[in-house]
This record gives sequence, structure tokens and C-alpha cells, in this order.
Amino acid sequence: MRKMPGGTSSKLSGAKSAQLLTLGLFAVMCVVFAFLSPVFLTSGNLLNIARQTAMLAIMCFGMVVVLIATGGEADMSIAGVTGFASGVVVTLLARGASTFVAIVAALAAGTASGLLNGMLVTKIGLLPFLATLATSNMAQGLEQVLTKGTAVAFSDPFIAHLANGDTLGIPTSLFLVLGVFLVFYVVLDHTGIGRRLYAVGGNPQVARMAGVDVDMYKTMAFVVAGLCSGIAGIVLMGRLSGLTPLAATHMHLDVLLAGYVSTVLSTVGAPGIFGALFGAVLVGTLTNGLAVIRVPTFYVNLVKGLLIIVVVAANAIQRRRRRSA
Amino acid sequence: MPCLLEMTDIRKEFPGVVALDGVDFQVEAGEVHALLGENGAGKSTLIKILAGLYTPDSGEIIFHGERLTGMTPQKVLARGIGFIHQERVHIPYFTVGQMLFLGHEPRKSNGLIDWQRLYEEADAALASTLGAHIDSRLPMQHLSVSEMQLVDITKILMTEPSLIVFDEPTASLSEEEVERLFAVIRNLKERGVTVIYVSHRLDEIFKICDRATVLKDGKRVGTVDVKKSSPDQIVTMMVGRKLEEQFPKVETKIGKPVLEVTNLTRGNAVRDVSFTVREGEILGVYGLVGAGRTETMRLVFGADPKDAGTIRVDGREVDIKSPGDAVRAGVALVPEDRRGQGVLVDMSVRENTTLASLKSFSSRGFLKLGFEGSAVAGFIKRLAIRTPSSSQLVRYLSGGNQQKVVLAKWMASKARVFIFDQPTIGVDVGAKAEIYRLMGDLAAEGAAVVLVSSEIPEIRGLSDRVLVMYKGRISAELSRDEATAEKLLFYAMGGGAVDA
Ligand SMILES: Nc1ncnc2c1ncn2[C@@H]1O[C@H](COP(=O)(O)OP(=O)(O)OP(=O)(O)O)[C@@H](O)[C@H]1O
Ligand SMILES: [Mg+2]
Repeated sequence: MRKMPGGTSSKLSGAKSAQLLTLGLFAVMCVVFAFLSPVFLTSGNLLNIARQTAMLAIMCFGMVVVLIATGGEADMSIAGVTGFASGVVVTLLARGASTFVAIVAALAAGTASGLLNGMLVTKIGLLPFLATLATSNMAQGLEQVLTKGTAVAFSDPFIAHLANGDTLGIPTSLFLVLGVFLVFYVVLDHTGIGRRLYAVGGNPQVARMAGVDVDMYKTMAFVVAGLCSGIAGIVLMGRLSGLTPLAATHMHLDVLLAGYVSTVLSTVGAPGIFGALFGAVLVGTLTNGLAVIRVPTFYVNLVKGLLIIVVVAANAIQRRRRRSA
Repeated sequence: MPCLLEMTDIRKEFPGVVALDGVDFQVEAGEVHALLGENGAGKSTLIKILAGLYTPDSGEIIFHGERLTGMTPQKVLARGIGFIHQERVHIPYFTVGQMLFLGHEPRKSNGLIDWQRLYEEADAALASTLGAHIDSRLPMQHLSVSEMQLVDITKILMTEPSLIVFDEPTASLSEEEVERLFAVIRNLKERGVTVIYVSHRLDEIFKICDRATVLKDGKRVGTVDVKKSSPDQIVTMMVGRKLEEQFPKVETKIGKPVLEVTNLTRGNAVRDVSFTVREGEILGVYGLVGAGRTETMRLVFGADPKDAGTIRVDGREVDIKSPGDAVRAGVALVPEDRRGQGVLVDMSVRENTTLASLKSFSSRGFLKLGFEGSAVAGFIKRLAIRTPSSSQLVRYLSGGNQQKVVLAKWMASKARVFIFDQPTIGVDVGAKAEIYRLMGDLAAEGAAVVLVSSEIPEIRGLSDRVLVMYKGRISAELSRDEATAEKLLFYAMGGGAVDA
């Protein structure tokens, strides 16, 4: 939720009702899952949700930064680049590289992919949708080249701990999410960089005339998203304890859905970091809940696809109301 | 005379703002009726209610003796009321002809669009309404602000309405174009068309309006017969007090050169322009629309690439390739097209105000939100920006108040050179005087100020020196005393120039 100094409370009933709707939806969802499955509300499962959501949340933070800087255009490459980063980690470790080198290389792979997206969009002028889709496919291709398209076994105590372990009785990955969240929150809401990112997405022409280097900020957003994919790739690796080909690809829909949920949740229809966190939790819970009540995978995709339409439509209606207001 | 339009006890409340608080408004058939008031007084809201864009919370509208309820913009248009709104929407890649005939394109017998006829009729319509010389095959995005407006007016006139409402139509027109518009309005009047006319320029009211209704804070102050009234009386009704001097020219010490521009050139739009502005000086730049004033300033600011020319700030040559470079070099530009280039409509008043000077509101990269808040509150007060709070989205401010936000944005920056491109268009009389005062203050603090304006009184009242531009060149440089209205116009029309 975008923090508005002074509070715009009760200003936008349209936006408000969309928010309540989303929150209501989430509550209903939880109740239904709890009702249909005795497992859902057990502490074991809740911790499981937290672990599953950690990776999605980090990916979603990256997505939201791109949504902010482009005025609502999604980065379609996040899941693909996450998989690519995993491939980098697992391949390097298999060849005897140190954990540190593997992690740095994964982050670098993510960042480079983001930089490519940024360049394609700002220097060549491709639509973000096309540029990121192309990058996504290339990343998936590279992942398969690295892993030769087969499952690769993996064991690294540090990465495994990061993804599955506990610290002080709390999943370690939650600390990671919290850390990234705090950095993003501070940068987006408390620095000039964040303001300028919002300005660039709001109206690039106006931002330019105010002296903001629009291309630089847009590129930066894609790079940040790439970096987040890199981090997510490392966590993914740890969770799977071995890489199955294109393991991250199924996250495509999840990231997109969570990203758009974040938009609905904001008072001004602009995406924000609180929304991103909530979006990730919502989608993570949904995925888990559907699994524990044993809904077949193809229905899961159907439900998520439908939800994307609902969320994007809610956002569009919200915008239209605002326009004519 | 019979009442053509009667709006009674109209009320409209937005969250946090009562825009209209029981307003009565009567327009007689065949008159030109002015609707006046400060920025945010509720003029556009009243117009939008009539247009069917807003539903009033309560109140009654009677037009031609018939009660209008449940109106939509389409239905209102069908009843013969046409609108030129303050904020206009265009489809940038549509041609002028497509824009004019959008939705009712002429067809051939086979049902396909008859492009030939469309463009011929479009040209004819453009020529007949305003004598406008616009190629109807040009895309809208290639037109200047004033040309776009001429297209809008033409489009409305094509529907032959019995009542036309103009919300600040002259805000972006040159004097010549304003005269042409007045000719059209007088002609409409002769044909029995009734006109509602919203403007902040009082001289215009006295030229073409029969009666005037003044709004203040969402209430009707009164309706006067323009011929029996005076500008002073109307201003007092609008502002609630008598206004002090309009042009408070502050005597400043004029020091060393701050901005030196040499041989600035871009295509035919700006040709070999050189000028200097000194510390404490206000340099007026006068010219007709299209003379190259805005383009010159955009080149100085790095908004467009220049073909040639050098720019010096405080004696040092600066390489300005983008607005970012200009801001770093200490140059600020308040752009002419404020809605397109000035405000972020979906961000708050506060975020807009500090966008160009975030550095001075941060320490070690972190925003000092408290400091920022009080600075913004100061501007809201000084410029009398009408907004429920600094966190209000700019989208919900009235047109004039949005412009004040853009002014605040640049005044908040610690620039050395301030370029104002038509700064007072659309702002009310009270705020105008305040803006002039702020410009004087900037000069007094040692900044160099450039004022681009089409309003002769403003240019004469504020400038220490005046440049006149004609066809991309500087056609004259006049001192404060030399700059009479006759001379300004003479040089602006190309008098004394050798045409290249
Ligand atoms: N959609 C909206 N939501 C919230 N407030 C609004 C909205 N539209 C107008 N207002 C507020 O209502 C008041 C009247 O606005 P309006 O646009 O009618 O003023 P105006 O008289 O046309 O001013 P100007 O001369 O600046 O154009 C202002 O305080 C404005 O901020
Ligand atoms: Mg208005």
C-alpha cells in the first residue's frame, strides 16, 4: 500500500472498495481452506506457506519496482530469470565452485538479464512486454544449456539453510524477505530515488522536464527486478535440493498475479511494496490451499488465470472511475 | 428576455471539498454570459454538471423550459449544448480531419469512409469557423496548443449548438487568435447562439460579455450587467477585497551576467538567437504564438537538441543535453504545456512540488519528510493553492490550482536562472499578483528571470528589458521605457525585419 503522508483516507471510495474486496477475498479463501482441510491451519502448514511464499515475495518486490517505473507494465522475465539463476548456482556448485562464488554468479546473472531488459526498453525502444518475454525465453534457454536439460542433484548446507532452515525457530527465508522488504520500503517511500521512480512511471515527460533521467531510472528498475530474480533463484535452489528443468517456469503466473494484486491494494492505483508483500502472501496461500484440499494442477492454473483477469479488471475499473471523477 | 438556461440550487461535494454550495445560475437567450471566480471557485464543476460529466448532489437544471435529469454527455450534446472544456483530450496520432469527423465520417456509397470529402470538408470547416490555416491532414500531435484548441472549437461549431460553453478558451491563444475567436463569438451571437464564457482575463469580459456571474468558494456572489460594472467591482466580488497594485515592480540591483546564450539555433524554429540575463534582472520575451519563444527556452533547458549555440551560466560554459543537465547547471523552466509536461496528475501536491528539488529536501539520500511538509505547506499558503491537504492528488485540483503547483515546483528549486513560459495563463487575478511578487523576490535574491508572455501589460509591467521574437529570430531588444505596446506589436509582426 502506497504510503500517503497525511493520509488520503476516505478520498477514493472506488479504490477503497477494491481494497476491501481483495482483503475480503483473502479472508474468505482462508476460511474455505480451513473448512475443507484440517491440515491447512496447522502450524506446520503455515510455516510451509511462509517458506513457499518467501521466494515469491522476493520476485514480486522486483516486479513491483518495474510496475512503478513503467506505469503498470509487467516484467515477464522474472520467473525465467529466476530459473536461469538457479541453473547458474547448481552448475557452478556441481563443478566445485564455492558457495560464495555460486551466489555472486547467480546475482550477476540476474542483474545482467535485468540490464538487458532495461537496454532493450530504453535504448532500442521495445515494449517492456516484448523485451522481457524475449529475455525470459533466452534465460530459460540458457538454463537448459547449463543443465543440459536434465535434473541436477545439489547439496549446499548454506543455501539449504537459507531456504529451508530455521533461525530462532523462524524460517530463515523470512528474515531474508523482511530484509529485502525493509530496503525496498525505505528506498521507495523515504528517498528521492523512490519518488523519481514513481514520477517516471506516472508521466515520463513530466519527470524528464523536472530533470529526472528517465531512461536511467527505468533501466534501474529492470536491473533491480533482475537482482531480485537472482536472489529468488538461489532460494529456489535450496528449496528443491536439486534442479528440475524449468522448475521456476510455473511461477510465471504467480508473479504476475501477485504483482497486479499489489496495484489493487494501493489507494492511488499505483503499485507499492506493502501491496507486493500482500500479493505474494495471497498467492502463496492460494497455491498452498489448493494443494492441501487436493485440487488438480490444471484447475489451479485455471483459477489463477481467472484471478488475473479479475484483478486487472478491478484495477482498470478503478482507473476509469478516477479518470471520470 | 426569456431564460434559456436555469440552474437552481446546485450542490456538489467532493471528498473533503464542497465545490458548489447551492449555486443559482441563469443565462438568457442570445447573451454572452461570463462565469468568473478565483481558481477553485467551482466554475468548471458547474460547467461539468451542465455537460453531464458530473451528477449534482442536488439542484435542478432547466434548459429551453425543459427539465434535464439523468444527463450524459451524449444526451446534452444532442440537446444542442456544446462545450470547450478546460482540459482537452486528443488522439495524438489522429489527423485533424479524423478528429473533427470522429464518429460521423462521411461515407461513400459503398459504405467506406470518403477520405477525400472528409479532408475537403474539414478544411472548409476550419477555414470558415476561425479562418484557421491548419492542414487537416496533419496528425494532432504536430499541432501547437493553440492550434489544437482551434480544432476543438471547429469540432463543436460543426454540431451547430444553441448554447456554447467556453471554459478558458483564450488561455493558450495569441492576441491575434483571441481577436479571431471574439469575431466568431460575436458572429454566433448575431445568429442567436447563446454563449457561456469562463475566463480569468477581465479585459476579455469587458470586450464581449453582456452579463457576468461571479462565484466564490462554491457560492454565487452575484450577477452583474457588464456595461454597468467596472473591473474593480468585479475583482472585489471575486476576491472579496480590493486588490493592490497588479504589477509590483521591485527595484533590484542588476549585477553580472548569469545566463549567456550565444547563436542558439535549431532548424528554422530558432535561428541564431543570442541574449544575456543578469543577476536581479527580469528579461521579458514577447512575440506572437509560433515566433519561437517556447522553442528557444526548450533549447536552453535541453528539452530539445540544439543544432548549434553555446550556453553559459555564471560565466562557465555548460553542456546542456537534457533537462537533467539544465537542472544541475541551475536552470529551471516552467513549461507552457503544464498539463502535459508540468504535473503528475496521479501524485500528490506534495510530491509534485518537490520533484525538481528532492536533493535539497534530503540528507544523505533520505527525504526529510517533516521539512518537506512544511515547505510545501508554505507554498500552498503563498500561492493560495486550493486543496484539502498536501496529500491530495493533483488530478482533483482545479485547472488554475494545478498550474500553481507547477510554479511551486520550480520556485522550490534553488536555481540561478528561472524561465517562466506563460506563467499566469489560467490563474486568477489574486494569484497572478502573488506570482509576480514571487518573480520579483527571485530576482531580488540574485536570480536571473526570463518571462515569456503574450500579455503586453504583464511584459511591460515586470520586465527590466524586453526581447521581441519573430520567425525564430530576435527582432528587437527594448529597454523598459522603450517597450510600448505599439513597439512590441510592431516588432512582433516582423516590422523592421529583413525576411530571410
Ligand atoms: N474530481 C474532483 N475531486 C475532488 N475535488 C475536486 C474535483 N473536481 C474539482 N474539485 C475541487 O472542487 C473545487 C472547484 O473546482 P473547479 O474545477 O470547479 O474550479 P474552477 O473555478 O474551475 O477553477 P480554475 O479557475 O482553477 O479552473 C476545487 O477546490 C477543486 O479542487
Ligand atoms: Mg476551471
